[in-house]
Amino acid sequence: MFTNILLCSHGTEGAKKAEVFVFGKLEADPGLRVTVLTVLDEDWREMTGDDWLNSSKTHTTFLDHVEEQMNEEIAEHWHRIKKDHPLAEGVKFLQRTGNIAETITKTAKELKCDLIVIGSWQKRPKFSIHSTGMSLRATMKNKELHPLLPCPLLIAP
Amino acid sequence: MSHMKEQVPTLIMGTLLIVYGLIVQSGALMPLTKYLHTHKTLDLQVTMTLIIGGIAIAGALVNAVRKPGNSNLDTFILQPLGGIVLILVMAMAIRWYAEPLMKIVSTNLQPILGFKIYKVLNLNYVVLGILAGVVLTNTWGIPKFAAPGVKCARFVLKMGVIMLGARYSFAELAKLGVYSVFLVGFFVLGIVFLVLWLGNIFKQPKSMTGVLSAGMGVCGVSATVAVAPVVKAKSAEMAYTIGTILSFGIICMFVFPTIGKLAGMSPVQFGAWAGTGILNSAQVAAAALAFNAVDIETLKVAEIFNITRVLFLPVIVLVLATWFGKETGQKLSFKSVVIDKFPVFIIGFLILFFLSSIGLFSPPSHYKGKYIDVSYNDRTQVTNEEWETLSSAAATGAFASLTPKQLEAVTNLIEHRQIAGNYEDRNDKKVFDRVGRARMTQLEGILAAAKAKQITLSADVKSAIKHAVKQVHKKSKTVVTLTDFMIWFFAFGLIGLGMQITKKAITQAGGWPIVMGVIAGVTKATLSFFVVLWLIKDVVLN
Amino acid sequence: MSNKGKKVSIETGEAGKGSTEIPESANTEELEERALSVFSSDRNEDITALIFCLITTFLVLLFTKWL
Repeated sequence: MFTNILLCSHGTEGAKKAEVFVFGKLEADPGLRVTVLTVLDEDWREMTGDDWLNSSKTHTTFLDHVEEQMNEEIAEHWHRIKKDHPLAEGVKFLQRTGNIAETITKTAKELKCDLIVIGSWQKRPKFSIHSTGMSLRATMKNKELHPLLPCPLLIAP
Repeated sequence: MSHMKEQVPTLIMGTLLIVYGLIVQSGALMPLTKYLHTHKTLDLQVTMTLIIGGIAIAGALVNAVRKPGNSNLDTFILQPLGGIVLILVMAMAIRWYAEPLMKIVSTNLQPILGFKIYKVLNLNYVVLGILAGVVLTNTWGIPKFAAPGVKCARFVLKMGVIMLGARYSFAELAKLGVYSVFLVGFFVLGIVFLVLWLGNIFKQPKSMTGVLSAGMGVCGVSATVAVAPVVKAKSAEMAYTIGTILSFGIICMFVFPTIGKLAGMSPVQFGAWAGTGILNSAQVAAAALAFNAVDIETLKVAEIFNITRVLFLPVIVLVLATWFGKETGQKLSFKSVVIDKFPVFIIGFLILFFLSSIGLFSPPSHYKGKYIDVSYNDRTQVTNEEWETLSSAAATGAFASLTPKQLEAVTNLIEHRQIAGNYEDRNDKKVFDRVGRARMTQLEGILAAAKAKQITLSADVKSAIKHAVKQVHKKSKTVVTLTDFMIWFFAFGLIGLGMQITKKAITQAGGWPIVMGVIAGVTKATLSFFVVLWLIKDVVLN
Repeated sequence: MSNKGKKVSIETGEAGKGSTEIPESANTEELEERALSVFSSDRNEDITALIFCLITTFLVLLFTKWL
């Protein structure tokens, strides 16, 4: 039915379920085109808060470091996907920077995808002192994503 | 006129400012401003609104007609104009309307709540300004036309700090410098090691304890940003640490002034405490101004502590780099850390300090821009009603319980209608001044005795004497004007910085950083509170 | 919020350019600096701030003391 799937994954528990779903479909239909997209949240720019003492140079060094760090973490994340799902070796991996909802829809349009798959929203443990996940804590709101959608959206349960 | 659309907000603001300025000038707002107790600022309101409104309209028209270029004029004036005007409008609205209204509302609510909201939360214009900035960013976001202008906040805040340099004397700077180096040095190093130790206990990665220790120890987000690349912090670690520090800092901004007032801290003590205990340097300035926005004593002390911390930052970066070991892969030389990071605006601060020290702003006999003038002068007289109050009080024997010297001072005050020396000494200025000042001291003694309930005087008499004493205290106009400029710079800068605090960043607080951060932050705030109370007595600035 | 259209030249240091393996397909668009400055370097910013302050001081002195 669908031929070109965009899988958005940031390594959360919900996204892992989406991965299982998409690669299951790929196993059943090898002709499927799958693209894995990881978005680097542009809001990292805002994480320097009200710091005014540092020079622009220090700020740039910081943001470079963030980017480099994120790239490393994304590479690790992709490596894990490839390990978990051997089929992933053949699919395309993409990394973009920007507002998450906007970037997902823009990429889907560019690649002419006919289905976007994301993980479902997972309940967080009430109090966790172990910092898990690699991105910013704030999650994308469906309210932001829905009006932008160019094609159907599937949320893996 | 292709760029007209983007300029509409600036044009509207400019027009509103001019219309407002003209309305104020017509005197139509006199009753309202009397109600708000802002009628003394009416002249300033007219001047500021007309000038800023004029510049806004002119700039917006130029922007609309001509193509944006890359010249200095574009980068520094034309493009940021919208944002600058927006922040100024916010600052003026808050200073002249929101703050007075807040006072009136909380006074009216006092019977219901049992306390005054603005006193408990210290909602003066500085705090209100930061709040307005934070609210604006997190609701509508910074408007597109204002984005380049908001970037000027840091520049203007730096100007504020430089101008502040004019308000110190050598003795003050030396004393405060010593205190701040000891206190800041002790607490910076202490907290850095405490966090590193905590990280060891909780078995947290080195990179995380590294960023967190710098953030908690030195100056909050600034230190985190500077240290993160050095210790190779993971993205989640940075996000959680920054979130924790930002939230902690904002809570401190409200809690510190309230506790300081409850504990009856002096301006100097509070400045030292805020300068040591609060993490982010912008929040230190905000808390100092929240504690006391009229008299800048607190701000002066807090900024010295702030500057000391800034100078400590490179040292900590070096220390942590060494602690983290050679894994960083970055070469950190003394030059790249200390010299490249040295904030040049501190030199500006010292230049203004030097200019003030050589007596450019007020002659050396003036203390902090204030001086006592006991010469005969119509301006220093008490009002007719006050004179009558005093004469009738003297006639009915209300001053019977005064000491002879005090009585002499009061009698002389009634005779001359002002505090002055002896008429026959008027040619010998030294003697004349000495006698006049001695009388002023006696009158102040009367007020103190009345306050301590050793003698009883009617409220009218007390207020008359108070007024007489106040009349001979003059302030150097230059210093007063410079201070006004400085306060506006600080207000502008802090509103702009408030706009940089986003909900997203704050809600990142969590994980181990929040546990260790709260332990370290509370320890620092509590310990420094007691150390400051014990160490710093009020004598520092006298 | 949007400063994509305007480019302000910022001194970027040598630091932070370590080597990372990024898959070819990765799109590494730079995170743009959101620093609070319209100046090309901090030295410029600080020096301009100082000059502005001196001008303000001079004008204040002129109008309140010397005139």
